[in-house]
Amino acid sequence: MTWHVSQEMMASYRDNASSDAASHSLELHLVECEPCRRIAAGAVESDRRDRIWAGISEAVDTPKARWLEEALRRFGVNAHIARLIAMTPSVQPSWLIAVATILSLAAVAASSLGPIPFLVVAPLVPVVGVAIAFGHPIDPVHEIGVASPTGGFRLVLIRASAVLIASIAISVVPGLFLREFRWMVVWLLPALVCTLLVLVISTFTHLSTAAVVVSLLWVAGVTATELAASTPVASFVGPAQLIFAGAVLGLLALLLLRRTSFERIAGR
Amino acid sequence: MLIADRSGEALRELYDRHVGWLVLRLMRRCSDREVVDEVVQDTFMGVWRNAAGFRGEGPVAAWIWGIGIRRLVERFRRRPVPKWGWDTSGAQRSAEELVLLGVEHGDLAPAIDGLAPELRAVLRATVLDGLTTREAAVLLGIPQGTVKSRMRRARRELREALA
Repeated sequence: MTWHVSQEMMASYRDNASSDAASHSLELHLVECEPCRRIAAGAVESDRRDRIWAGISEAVDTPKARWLEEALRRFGVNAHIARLIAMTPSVQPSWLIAVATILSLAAVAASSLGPIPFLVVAPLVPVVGVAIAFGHPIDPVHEIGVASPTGGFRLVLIRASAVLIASIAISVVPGLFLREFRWMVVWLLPALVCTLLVLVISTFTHLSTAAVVVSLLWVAGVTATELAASTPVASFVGPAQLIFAGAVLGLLALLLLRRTSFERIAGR
Repeated sequence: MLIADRSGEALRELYDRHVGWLVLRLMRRCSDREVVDEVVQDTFMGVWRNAAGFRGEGPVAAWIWGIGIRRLVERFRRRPVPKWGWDTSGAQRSAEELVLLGVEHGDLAPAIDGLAPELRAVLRATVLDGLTTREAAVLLGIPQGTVKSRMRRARRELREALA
């Protein structure tokens, strides 16, 4: 190395004032020369360096599900929301693959057992998904919820929606094993009812308790209906769908009434 | 390299050593501060994720630059309305050119500065930044064919100036 970069050279390089040839050789020199790189660092404001670093360390500290976050951001989702959704445990590939496997088994079994096993399990997927989305003890996003000034209600709705969408999307795959198309859709309203019910009950008690209660109620309700009804699959067809639709509206209203109590939920 | 062991402190040290020149060098290629800052962030995240890919061949700074300039190219691929402080484009790099550019002072400097700005831009993107013709075309917002023809012209003019 026959020469080194002076402060003046670095300043004129930074200010776009140096000639191209001088800039080229300076750039090549910096690749090789540690002392001159220190001069280059000095030519960039320290608060700018700190600001860039803040973005890096934030991203490096939260390594999970970057691909999903980036995809969401590319679709125009706000960066904070994208991170919140991407870090939800029940939208991770591992969880979704497990769900798809179980539902596929239920769907394959439908040829001998009828669609009931699938129709009972499918609506419980978002229920369990919501429960682990908020209840995970080492969920780092939990802390965002605690610290969020906008409060828990919006966060809960966003995450629950993400879980619902992911659950329904993944259920399409096993649904293809069902022989009749209607079995692919009749459980959607029940899924919504169960999820909303979990959220409403969670304003009174712990979320995981709510999920267990709703799951038991759901299985018991379907079993009782199937035993009592004269036609098979009565819990999902005909008037049952109307009841589910009414329940969705009623639960939505209840949820809005109870919205303030989610400020506590998010902090649990 | 320590980074490969996922040590956050090692990343911080690498960042402190290399952020300065990277910011300045990218700013010479893209005058938008916000874009450059994001590209620098992307670059160090890329360094963090791909640290195992560094095989210890050549200077670390050259490896970092290879990641950084490609992140910048990706930016322009996504949002193809480049606002350049300057232009760059390229063809394959030859050892001869690298040697020429490595000469710190001498006859080469006036020869390079005597080139038309669009030729210098192509020369820089391909020779100095090590981009492929395709990448250089994205960066400069010109067709690949133009990159190649400008590169030929730049070489010819350089040869004539040095003869």
